Amino acid sequence: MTAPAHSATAIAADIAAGRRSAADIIEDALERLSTITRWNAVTRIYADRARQRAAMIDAARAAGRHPGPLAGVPFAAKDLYDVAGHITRAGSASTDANPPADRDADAIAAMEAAGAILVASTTMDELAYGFAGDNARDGAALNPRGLVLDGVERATGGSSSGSAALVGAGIVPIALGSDTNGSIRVPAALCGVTGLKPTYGRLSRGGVFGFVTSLDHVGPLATTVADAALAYDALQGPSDRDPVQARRRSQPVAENLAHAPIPRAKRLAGHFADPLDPDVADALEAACSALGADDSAELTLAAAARGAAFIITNAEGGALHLPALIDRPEAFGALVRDRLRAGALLPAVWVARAHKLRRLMAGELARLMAATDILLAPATPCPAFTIGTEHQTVAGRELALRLDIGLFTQPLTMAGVPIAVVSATGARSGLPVGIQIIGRPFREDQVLAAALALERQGFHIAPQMPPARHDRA
Amino acid sequence: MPDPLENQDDARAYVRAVAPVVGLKLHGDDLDRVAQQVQRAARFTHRIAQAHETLDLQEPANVFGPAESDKADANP
Repeated sequence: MTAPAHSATAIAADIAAGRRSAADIIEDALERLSTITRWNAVTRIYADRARQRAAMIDAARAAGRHPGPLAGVPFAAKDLYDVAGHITRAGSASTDANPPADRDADAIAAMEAAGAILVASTTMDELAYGFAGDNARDGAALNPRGLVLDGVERATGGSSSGSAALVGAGIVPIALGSDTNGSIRVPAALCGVTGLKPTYGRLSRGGVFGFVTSLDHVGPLATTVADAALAYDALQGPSDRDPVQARRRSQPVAENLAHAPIPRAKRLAGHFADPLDPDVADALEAACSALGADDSAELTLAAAARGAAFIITNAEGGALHLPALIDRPEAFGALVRDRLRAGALLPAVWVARAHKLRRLMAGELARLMAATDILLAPATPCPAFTIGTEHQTVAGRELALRLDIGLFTQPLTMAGVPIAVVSATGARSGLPVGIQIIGRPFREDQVLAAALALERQGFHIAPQMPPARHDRA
Repeated sequence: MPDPLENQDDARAYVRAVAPVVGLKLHGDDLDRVAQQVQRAARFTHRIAQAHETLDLQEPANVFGPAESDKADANP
């Protein structure tokens, strides 16, 4: 199977074979980045750094050295990854007085060690606390899929909003995000890209601005499943900068992905069956059919697990930011400020119960997965909504979108298991809808094998740059 | 049984009492909005409590499988 021309896989192959130069690839990415200031997707562009890296890649190739599996591939990173010499904004004015990072985040260093080239940092919900993809200071990121479809400004989802927008538009084939309650999976689904939330503790979060250390994950958003696998392989490796990283050997998945057996699959029922927009329901049926998921399994603790994720997130986030909430409350956006203040006040017994529920739910999920390799579930209840919409009725149920767009991702975060998202275009809406592929701990290989099987069955949306009228302000 | 802090007046009284303990100065609208957030959290914690009432609370085995180190053991 030939890699799509816009993919990281194809770019790296072209550069390794001398068909294109890294310098040309990077100039193309920088030109596109310069045109999208209106999208509220980018916080900083690293033109000089990227050009220097591109020259190094081209020189390495000219000298006969292999430039790496991601040679010359432009990538972006959510603006909570440290970039040496710059303040990590984390989408909040509360970080303005922080010192610049003294070195790159582990993930950025790992991507560049594989030959990839950082071109930009991307926007996010403030402090990663949100699903909507908007930000009190930066504004709402524009979903390129909506702009392509009909010009309507729709939400990207969040909190890895800018990363998803750049991949969906084909400006970069890979962008790094983070996922605490669904912040890779929700924007991947709404922007029609592949997302991977690896197993909790699998990848180092060293140099990443934390939110909820009990739940924070880092991972890629990518154009194809193969690209996500390449990024995942690059991101593996030990670090002494993340105290919860599991000391496990790297287990590369990309090389054998195309020939991996298709895992046994079941569908998650109960909490994950309702409410579903018809496009989401159709996509789920198609995914289950493609993978032979004839049986279903019910995670009875899903709703409670969602509550527990809410409590843990609220309490840990509030505790983390309490000093700044006391000293400089005006530095926070109003919505985030109130939520974090409340989190700092929650009774300890609530948090203890939430953590206990977490372990019980993880145990229930493990028992379900004794009889299957993967589970399938919708990523979001509905496709991307128009920016500014607070409530929407889906299948007869009114959803508070800021909270409920994460209805299906938030409970699963509690188990720490690897989850990929692949997307298809909804027949009615014309917008992307996403499917979660849930695996056993540290079995990213099976999750990605199932994702690839779905991609081959049509769960792939080629990136597309919106018409020029949506570019420069 | 609903958590007491699902009640608006109770949530407001709770925030008024506890906020100064952690150093937060909340008054008027600020206090009301934070109390609303606490109410929301109380509704979520009610769901957790309901689940606890119906479950065997024995801790499950390490669902991450055999650890390769003590560090991995510490992961949920």
